[in-house]
Amino acid sequence: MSRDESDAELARRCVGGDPEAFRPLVERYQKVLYNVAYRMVHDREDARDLAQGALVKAYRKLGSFDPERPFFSWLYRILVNDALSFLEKRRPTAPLEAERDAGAPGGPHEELERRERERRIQAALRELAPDSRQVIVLRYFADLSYAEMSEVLAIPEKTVKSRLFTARQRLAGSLGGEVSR
Amino acid sequence: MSEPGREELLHAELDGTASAADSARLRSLLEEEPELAARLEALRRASGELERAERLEPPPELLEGVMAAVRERSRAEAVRPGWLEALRGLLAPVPLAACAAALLVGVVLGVLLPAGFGASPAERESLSGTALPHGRLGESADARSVAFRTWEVSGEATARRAGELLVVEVRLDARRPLEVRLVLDGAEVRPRSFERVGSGEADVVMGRGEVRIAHPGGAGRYRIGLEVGPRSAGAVRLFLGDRESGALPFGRMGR
Repeated sequence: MSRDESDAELARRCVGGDPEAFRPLVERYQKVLYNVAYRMVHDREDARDLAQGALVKAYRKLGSFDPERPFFSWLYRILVNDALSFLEKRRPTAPLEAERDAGAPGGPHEELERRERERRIQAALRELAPDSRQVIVLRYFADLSYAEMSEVLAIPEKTVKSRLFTARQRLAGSLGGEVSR
Repeated sequence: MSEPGREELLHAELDGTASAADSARLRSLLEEEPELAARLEALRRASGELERAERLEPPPELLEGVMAAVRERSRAEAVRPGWLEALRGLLAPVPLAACAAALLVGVVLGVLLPAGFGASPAERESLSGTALPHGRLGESADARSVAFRTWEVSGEATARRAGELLVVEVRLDARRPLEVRLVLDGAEVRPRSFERVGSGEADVVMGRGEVRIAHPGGAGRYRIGLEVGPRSAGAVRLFLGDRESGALPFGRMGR
């Protein structure tokens, strides 16, 4: 298998009956999907389930994937929609995972700093409305451009910018003012 | 093009998308307005925090869980062979020359055989490729229709029964390639023939109990002829992608 086989080519092989062609696609996108899901729902197990669900759903729907469009934006759209549905159903009182997170590598000082940063970030993200949170998460954890976010979220680029600016302004209030270093 | 506003300048600077001219303009504004400089600084700190946030490694069970589900689905489809594969399987052993020869024989027979050979007049009428005569067929037909509209596809499916023939016509306009499936509920219902109008690239597979159409996107019209027993009643269920989009019931003859 070619290392740089395109997403569309792998998708075509899957549709043609080769399920193993889906593995490189999972390997390629699972980290971003998992991180986007985690920053949306703040729980690692839920994030794993959402990322897994989105990938399986994508496989089932590969027949309707338009190879002329980027695979990742189609895939991220599935995840983002599922994450929003999940947030609508979930009670908003789940504890912050960063508060019960432990055992990461690093010395005691670095570890404390890391945990404190994670706590601040998760708390700040939780304060955002889901549609503001999703643009921040797609911008910073999926590295998407305005145009790509517009494609994923099926909203005009202008709306993406407006949501991103508003969300950043709120984060500047909660994250930007607290850091003195 | 109009100059970007201050807000846009700040965010373009953060995203690294500001032009040299915009950056120069922003620098000049920042010198004049300390509060704007403070805002940019706060935005930069928040952005920096997000950029430094930990990127988690996905748990190993994610990949394996997905691949297990994918293999499971693939096995399930293998029990009911993937329709594209089934089509390939049917066509693969047939050499191109044999296909051409069969086509030639078909054309010659079509010219030589008397009109009315084989199919009934109603059947010929509806399957010959000419427009379906609504009025004439409609008089004796038990016609039903269902309309569908989503952001991806819109259209209508109609079923008309004429004797032991049920003609299902699907007209659709889809933004993307789409699988259309007709699931045949009811005893003694068998796919007999199909016709594509303006969708020459679409693959159509007629199997036992269902008809699958790989619509390539855009506008298309498909006409499927189904043979139904005189006492047969049931429904043709229409699926667009994974979603069931309606049903076309049909009744027994002679009611």
